Amino acid sequence: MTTAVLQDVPDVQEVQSKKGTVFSWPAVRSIQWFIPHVLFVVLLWLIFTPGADDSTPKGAFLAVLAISEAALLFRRNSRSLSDIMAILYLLFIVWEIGTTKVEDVNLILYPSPAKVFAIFASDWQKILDGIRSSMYLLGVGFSSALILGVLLGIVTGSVARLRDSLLPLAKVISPIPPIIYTPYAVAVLPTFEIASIFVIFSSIFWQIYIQVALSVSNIDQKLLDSAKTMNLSATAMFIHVLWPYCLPNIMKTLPLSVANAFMVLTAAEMIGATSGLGYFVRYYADFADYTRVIAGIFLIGIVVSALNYGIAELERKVVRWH
Amino acid sequence: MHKIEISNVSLTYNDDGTVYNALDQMNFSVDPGEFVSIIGSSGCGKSSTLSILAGLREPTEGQYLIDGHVSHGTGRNRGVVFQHYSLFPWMTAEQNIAFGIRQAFPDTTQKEASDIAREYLEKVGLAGFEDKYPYQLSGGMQQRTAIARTLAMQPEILLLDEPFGAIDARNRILLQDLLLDVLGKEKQQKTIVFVTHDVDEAILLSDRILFMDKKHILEEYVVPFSRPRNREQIFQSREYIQMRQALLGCFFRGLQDKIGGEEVVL
Repeated sequence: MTTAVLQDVPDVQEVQSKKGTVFSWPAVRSIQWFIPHVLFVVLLWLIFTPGADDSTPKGAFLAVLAISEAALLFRRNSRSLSDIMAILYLLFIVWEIGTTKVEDVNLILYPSPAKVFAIFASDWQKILDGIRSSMYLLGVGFSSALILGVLLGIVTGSVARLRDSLLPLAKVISPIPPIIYTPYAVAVLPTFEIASIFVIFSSIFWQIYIQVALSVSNIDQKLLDSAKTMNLSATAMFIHVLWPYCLPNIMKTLPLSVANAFMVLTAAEMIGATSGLGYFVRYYADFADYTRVIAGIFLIGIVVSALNYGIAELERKVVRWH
Repeated sequence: MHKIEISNVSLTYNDDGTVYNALDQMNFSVDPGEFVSIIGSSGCGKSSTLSILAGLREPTEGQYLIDGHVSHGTGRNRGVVFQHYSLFPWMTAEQNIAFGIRQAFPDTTQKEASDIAREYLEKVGLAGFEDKYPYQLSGGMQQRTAIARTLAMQPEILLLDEPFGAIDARNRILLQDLLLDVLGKEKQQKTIVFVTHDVDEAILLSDRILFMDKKHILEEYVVPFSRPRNREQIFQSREYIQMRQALLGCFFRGLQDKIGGEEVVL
């Protein structure tokens, strides 16, 4: 007992780690790697046992499962991917059982996973058109907001008088949720296209404008002095000093801005569009085609995630000085 | 003719109605090719003096002449190295220097500027660090790059505002030697104003030392050592010890005045 009391800290840690091996961490680990694959097999078994929905082609759902299983096998060392897939498979299992293995389930309100994924195979043309149309609106609205926000933000931030007058105004206008403009914009502006671009624009512009104006006005005086002593022209100051100075902050707010813009876009599309992702969801909701509604919701999730991934990659490429 | 002449320069800040006096009737001049250090305790106005010389501030009263002409604003004939943030964080060491060269000489192509930049990086012992961003360089390396950039822009006058103030003792010695070495190799003899609070640094580097207190120049010392200088020899000489005593005496006199007065700053 006395030796135990006299043990110093490293020894205690050693004992603890040994204790860990007694409970056999490696065993837990190998089971842990096993879990998603077991769930995958269970899921396959569920799909191929007869149920309420056997008429739907299962190809698309199986393809999705095959791709995720392949990714899992390909990146065998990623514990987080393994956990993510386990959770995903579990959700699929619940979904599959809940829609096909329960008696008297309403297959219109609760479509089976196979049915939802089949939409991606059968409607891919419409889906691509929807993505194209939404991305066009998002692209135009987003890039115009980005360009104007940065330009005006830098000018506002570097002129004290503009900063003191415009920023307070911007802070009043910016918290108004841009979705609120949508009905009015759709009514007033000549085409739906212009209206939704306007709404997307205003959902991002203020954020970027305020962000840039604030960071320019808080720029380190020493950095400015250094630039001044190099006799930079106004354009060089803009392009080589102020713009790169703001860039990391802008990149940080972009994912949030994209999410906001997408929310506004899909909401706008549900009000007045004739194409696009939001339109896709609303159109089929009108026909109570909830299979396509759910597929559309999935699709929007996938598109937003792809956009965010793209932005993160862009940030990694563009901002290399941190 | 003097290269730089400061005559009766005063500088006051107006900070929300409180008028703050940064410089009061200051006079001094620097000859072409001379290395002058301005030394003094914090808040004595030495950095304000440098920012006037750099053209970042205009004197409230008096004027300042370069080559006999009244000077306003920044100019290509002066290059400045600050204690912090001289480099742009988003440019690599080479890009920082090449950018400086292209600002000073707009006709230079990107390729030529990069070549000259690499040359200067080699001069300050940073060959192989061309593609590093400032955050990847130590404080000493950043200052070397800043010095390289300023030299590459080929100003006639070099203004250095405590450039080694944030560098540890060992690296500071290396940088002081490097500065002397690089300056000795430049084709054109630079006129230099060097602001520091380090007595040894001032003696080692300069031809003349101006001691500044109470918003103007109080004392002036000519440094008697010839160039090129040897650190060990200088630090063992009697002249050095005397000069050091005299300069430290200046600091303590100022301190006593402050303790005797209303305001105590330690």
